[in-house]
Amino acid sequence: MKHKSRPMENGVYVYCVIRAPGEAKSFGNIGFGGNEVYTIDYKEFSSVASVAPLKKYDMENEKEIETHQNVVNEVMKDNSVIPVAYGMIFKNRKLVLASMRVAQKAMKKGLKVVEGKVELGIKIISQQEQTGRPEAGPFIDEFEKELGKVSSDSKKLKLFSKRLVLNKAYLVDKDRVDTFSDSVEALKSKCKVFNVQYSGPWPAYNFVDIKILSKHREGRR
Amino acid sequence: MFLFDDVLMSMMGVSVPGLNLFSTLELIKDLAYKELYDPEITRNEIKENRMLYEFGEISEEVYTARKTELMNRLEQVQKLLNANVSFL
Repeated sequence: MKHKSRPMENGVYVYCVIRAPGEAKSFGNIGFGGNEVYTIDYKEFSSVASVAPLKKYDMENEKEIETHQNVVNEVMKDNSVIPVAYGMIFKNRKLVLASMRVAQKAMKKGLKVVEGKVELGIKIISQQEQTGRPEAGPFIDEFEKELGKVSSDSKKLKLFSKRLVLNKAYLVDKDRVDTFSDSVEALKSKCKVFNVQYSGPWPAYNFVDIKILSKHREGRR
Repeated sequence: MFLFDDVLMSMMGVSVPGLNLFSTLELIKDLAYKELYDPEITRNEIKENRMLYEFGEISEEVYTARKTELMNRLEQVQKLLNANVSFL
């Protein structure tokens, strides 16, 4: 006797939180599986969500991470975004609202941090053909000093590779992004010994608690 | 029984050069297994592979092949961890 495969159950996937726009808003069919991305309001906040399969969302699934990121990028165009950890799926709308109620204080705090700001990333790696590791200290000091002047906060991130000499996230006012970019370009042109990668703008993932809607490790509720 | 005998003899203050060498080899083997089966190390390698692709140091083909290899390894490691297998 053959077992019938059961269709995967759907839940409500939350991409980010924004200040409530005042009325229900749709961001189009850009969610998982081409589902509509819409707002779920609780007091002055809205979760930006869509229907999605109720499953574990793997950190290594680049396609799904890209879908999450595309939605957030779209929302960021006109809103300050409190980012939410990738993989935050709820069984139903009622549980989203319950979590928002619990997370009210954290959302208020988060919005204060991200309002009018974006995150920019800097990675510096040693060059491939280098045999001995050149002294990175003075160069990193100059980078940190100059970029510190044009940002409101920064966070050192994990050096996950032996090639990485700096991995840092900067919180920058939206209207200072061009100034920040000019500083990065000026610093890059001075450096011949290391390679620099500049990325963003991103939502401020490294400056707020992205698990505000859940303390569960995988974000399923 | 090897480990038991080795430990027991060490406790009694008896040092047998041959046994010590075997013990060291066992330890090296265990450490190598631990490194190979540590999901964090594999995750770091996945990130490094992505980073080198983004920096333009490796082609899309090399990136994809390495990613597939690392993802398979991570899947195996996670299966082993779920089965509660430990190497130390």
